[in-house]
Amino acid sequence: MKSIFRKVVFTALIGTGSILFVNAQDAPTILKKMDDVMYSPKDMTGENTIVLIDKAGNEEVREATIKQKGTDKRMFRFTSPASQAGIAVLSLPNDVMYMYLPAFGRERRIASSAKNQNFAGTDFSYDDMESVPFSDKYTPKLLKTEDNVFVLELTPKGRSDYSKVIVTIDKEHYYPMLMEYYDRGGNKVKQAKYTFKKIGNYWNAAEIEMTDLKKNHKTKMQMSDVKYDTGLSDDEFTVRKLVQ
Amino acid sequence: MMQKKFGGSLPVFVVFKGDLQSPDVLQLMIKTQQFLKEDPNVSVAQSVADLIEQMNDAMGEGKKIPDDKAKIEQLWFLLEGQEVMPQLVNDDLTKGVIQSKFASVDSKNIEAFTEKMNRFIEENRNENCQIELTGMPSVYVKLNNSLINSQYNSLLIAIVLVILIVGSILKSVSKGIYTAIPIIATIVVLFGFMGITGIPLDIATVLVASIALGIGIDYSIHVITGFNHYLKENGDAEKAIEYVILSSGKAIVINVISVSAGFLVLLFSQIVPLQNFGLLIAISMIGSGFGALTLLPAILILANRKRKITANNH
Repeated sequence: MKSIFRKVVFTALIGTGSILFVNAQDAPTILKKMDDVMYSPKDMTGENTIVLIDKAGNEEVREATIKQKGTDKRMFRFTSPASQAGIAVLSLPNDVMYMYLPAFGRERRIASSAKNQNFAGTDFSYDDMESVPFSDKYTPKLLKTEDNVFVLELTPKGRSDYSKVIVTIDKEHYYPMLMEYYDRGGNKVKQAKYTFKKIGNYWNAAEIEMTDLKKNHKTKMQMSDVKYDTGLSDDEFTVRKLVQ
Repeated sequence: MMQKKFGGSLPVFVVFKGDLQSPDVLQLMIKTQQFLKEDPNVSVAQSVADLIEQMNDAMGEGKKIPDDKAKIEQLWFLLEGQEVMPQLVNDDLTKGVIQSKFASVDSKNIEAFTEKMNRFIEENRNENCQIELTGMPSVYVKLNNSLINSQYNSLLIAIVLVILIVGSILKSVSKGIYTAIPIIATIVVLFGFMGITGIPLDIATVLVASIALGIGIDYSIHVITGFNHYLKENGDAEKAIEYVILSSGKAIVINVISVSAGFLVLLFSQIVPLQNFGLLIAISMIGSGFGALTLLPAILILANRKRKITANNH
């Protein structure tokens, strides 16, 4: 009788243990899976609507088209308002960035020191805009596992404006739901809320709402007309194309 | 040293109201900044117009404001993420400011500067761009004017009140006036000294005249009441003066020395207006003590000799 009871307890323990083991993925794996969700398409084109909301609630809308290839080539071109139409930003590997101002008919390389500045009045810094895989930039640590989410603490590997980023990741699909950015003093300075939608085989960040908690200013980046894997060539991401 | 290192102590702002993305307004800002910097007391001046010039230079078109509004709007796009922007322009780009500093704290320099700036603004403002000078120098000019006005008024009222009160206590208006003479002389000497040494009338030194009047009047009252007392006793004005100087005079001298020494301690202060304050109070104490012991007795003897002569005639 006693031995049967012991057996039952023992199998139960092993059973739950193995379930726990299956679920207990380590932090780098989770982050890698998130990167895969975010950066798996070979290329992407789409329309981007940027809504700037100041602390009084006034909204300002800008529109742009985005083309992206892999994780490190991106062309961003404004289409509205009229005064900004044609302004374009080209991001290339190794932190190389160019900006084109049509009124001058000339491109300018952007210094990498300017990259912690905000992009065009939004709450995204140039750094936030780049699509370098998180696994390359941060060392993750699993803070907690809840019913639907993993919560990771990311510590920057290299130079960064942030001391850490806390990211909440959907447990089923591995896309980020919330990123909270902390400054070097340990204060939460920004947060980004993500809304993902499935388009074809990929998960797409249909809206990112970035809030600057110090300035009480908000930016919504909304994506529409998104097309994946249309076979963009490298020629699309050259200074010559930027100036066109 | 602070002024050398930080380029001045008084913040100066020139506010521009108009379309900040128009070339005219930005060029006017640059022109104003150049005019500001011509003043030897102004070393720094910055505005969004500087940034536009720099960005234009970075785009390879030279360090100037572009003539084309479209170019300005696109340069502006580059500036939008900059932390400094909210300090230089408002959100809807209808107001911009030139931030500058004025190095001198001398009220004469400040006044000349604000006058010059206001003339420049008057000549250059137009219907598309309103300009206004704000910041500490303009505040100082207003403050100084009100300081000087209140100085005149309060001194005048104080002197009249002193004459009335002393007059009513001694039951003689003429005695009230006699009492006030040494202290008026002291105030004349005080302002003369400030004028010669160039000590400015500021928040601290503006108090001196009133304090001098308040403390200095004591000496005259001591002398005149003592004089009245002795005059009643023996009827001889010169004798009475002698008594007063030997009795009250000693006390007055000791009082002058101790009060002056007390205020002269302020000469060791780190704050210049306080140093001036201490020195000026000491000077006016010595002045009013001296006046009470020399000027007032002379006046009293002259006044009473007349009475003696008229008494003898009858």
